[in-house]
Amino acid sequence: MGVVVKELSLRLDQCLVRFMDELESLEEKRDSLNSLIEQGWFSISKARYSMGNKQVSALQYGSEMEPGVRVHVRYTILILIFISSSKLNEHGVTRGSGPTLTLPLVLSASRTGETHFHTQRTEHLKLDQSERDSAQVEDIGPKEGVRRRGVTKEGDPKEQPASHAHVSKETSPPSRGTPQQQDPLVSKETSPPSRGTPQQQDPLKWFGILVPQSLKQAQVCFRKVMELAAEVATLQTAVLATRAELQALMAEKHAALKQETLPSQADEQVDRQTDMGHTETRPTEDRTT
Amino acid sequence: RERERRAERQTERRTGCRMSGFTELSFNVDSGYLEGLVRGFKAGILKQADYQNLAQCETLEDLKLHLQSTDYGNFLANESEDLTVSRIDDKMKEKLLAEFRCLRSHSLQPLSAFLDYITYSYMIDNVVLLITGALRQRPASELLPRCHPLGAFEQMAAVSIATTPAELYNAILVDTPLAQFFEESLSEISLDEMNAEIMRNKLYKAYIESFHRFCKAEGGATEEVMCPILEDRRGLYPTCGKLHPEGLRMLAHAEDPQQVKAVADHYAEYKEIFEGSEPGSNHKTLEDKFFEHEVKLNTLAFLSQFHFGVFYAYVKLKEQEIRNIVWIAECIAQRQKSKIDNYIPIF
Repeated sequence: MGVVVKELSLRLDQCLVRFMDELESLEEKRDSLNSLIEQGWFSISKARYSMGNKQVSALQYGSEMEPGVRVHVRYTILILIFISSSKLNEHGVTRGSGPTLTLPLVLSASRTGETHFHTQRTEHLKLDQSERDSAQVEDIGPKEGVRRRGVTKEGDPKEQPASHAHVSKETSPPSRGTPQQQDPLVSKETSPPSRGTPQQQDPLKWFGILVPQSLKQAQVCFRKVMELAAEVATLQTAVLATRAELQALMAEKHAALKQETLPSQADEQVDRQTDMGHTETRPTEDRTT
Repeated sequence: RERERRAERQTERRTGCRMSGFTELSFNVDSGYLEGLVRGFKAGILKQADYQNLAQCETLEDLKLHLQSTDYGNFLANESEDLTVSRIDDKMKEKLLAEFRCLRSHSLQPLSAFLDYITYSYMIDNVVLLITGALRQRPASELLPRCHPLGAFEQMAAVSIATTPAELYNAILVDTPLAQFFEESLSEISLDEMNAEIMRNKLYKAYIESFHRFCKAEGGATEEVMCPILEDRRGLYPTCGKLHPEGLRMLAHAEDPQQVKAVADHYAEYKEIFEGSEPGSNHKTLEDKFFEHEVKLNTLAFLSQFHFGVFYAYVKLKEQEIRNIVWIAECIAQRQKSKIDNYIPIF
């Protein structure tokens, strides 16, 4: 096998391992998210037991509230200027993936980098939409309308710089100066609640001055759920991106193999390679459903 | 002389009757039927076996089926939509309300005054609920169905308009029985959540004190039975009860649960409540322990006759039963069967 193919195979392996790791951590995080949500609801029922059913219900919160937690979205953009490698002015790192890339890898990954981040970005946008919709659905609420801390995903104002950055990204190879001013880095962090506005109350106060321990436990659970939800969302996009990368690498490898091997020897080897390739792709496809 | 002797004999008869427990002899005249009725109701309170049956249900429909074989009968029979825990709660409260109305409508003074006293605490809760609901801009039509039915009074719909306690009193509550509890808490502070809570505590304290005075005035077995129960309740609110006054001073300085526990150790009754309630323990919480204590005192009320305590005890025990059933229903609905045995069995 040629050097290119070997290198591709190595990268493929690395990618696969990363994919598996991401999937595993996604599963774990999803499990803990589910159990935390259950615990939160259960603590609220316990609170209802001590305080009375009508003291912990939809009546305790107003119909309009200030969100305590905001989700910001960070779209990582690889902006490369092909003038010189030293003028690399921005490379962001997504939350899920590993440490910063070294320069030669960046240049070589630019092709996959483009497609990679593109899908990630639209995934982010789509995710925002669906999350916003689901947040609205959650507001109407499960049958026993219980206090919810209003969460808004600020998708709209962020879409502006995002699309801006998108445009700048498309034109970045020829152009030069604009990416610098644009700073597409909008950080995705869940900012800790109720810090900026002094009028914003701790929602625990809605239920009275002395609240039972179980309500406080419920609040702690739901706060953790917020953070976990953001992490799960990031991981999901990362997983999808890695899968896309995996498939791209696979395709490259096939193409490289076809180019390299001689027609006479090609048949046997290609068959063997494609067999291995099939067995490789099948388990990953199963896992990603 | 004959007139004097007749007068003497009359006074003898009168005082003699009073000294020999006049109330017990004549209790049944006015309230015998009702005491019998309430004891019949009490016999229908769910027993341990019933609770175990309920705890083994898998769905709320199962629960409904099991409840049909108890005194509750077909109270859920007309529920066409999906059964939710809050519907069950509402229906049980309605049933309790029906029983209470039956008792109240047949009663004479002073039993009717006693029964009215029982409803005042629910009225106070309703008033506070309406006020806090109005603060959150909830429409009255949404709040009114959520009020406790036992505490309903005519001016309820108008409560949500008031903004200060003074206005509340002058405009709305002055005609209700709650007026008597308002003496100390009239102020011009606007009603926000904190003050609503404070107002609630003040009203409740005034209510308990007034109830206590009433029971003392009744004397006899009523006083014996009711006063410990009421004092326990008062103990939770400052300036009254067994903790007065040294205990309260110590409590005011307590900074954390451990210190509160240390204070309570001085008083034997509260000591056993605080035992075993370390933070983080999975077992009973402090509220649970207080509920247990209350249930114990309430069941003791049924051991003696010819007093009004049985009515109060019945209402409170039914309330606890409703809480138990709702807890079991929540555990079933949320599929968290591990904690399902945290209810407090009554008999």
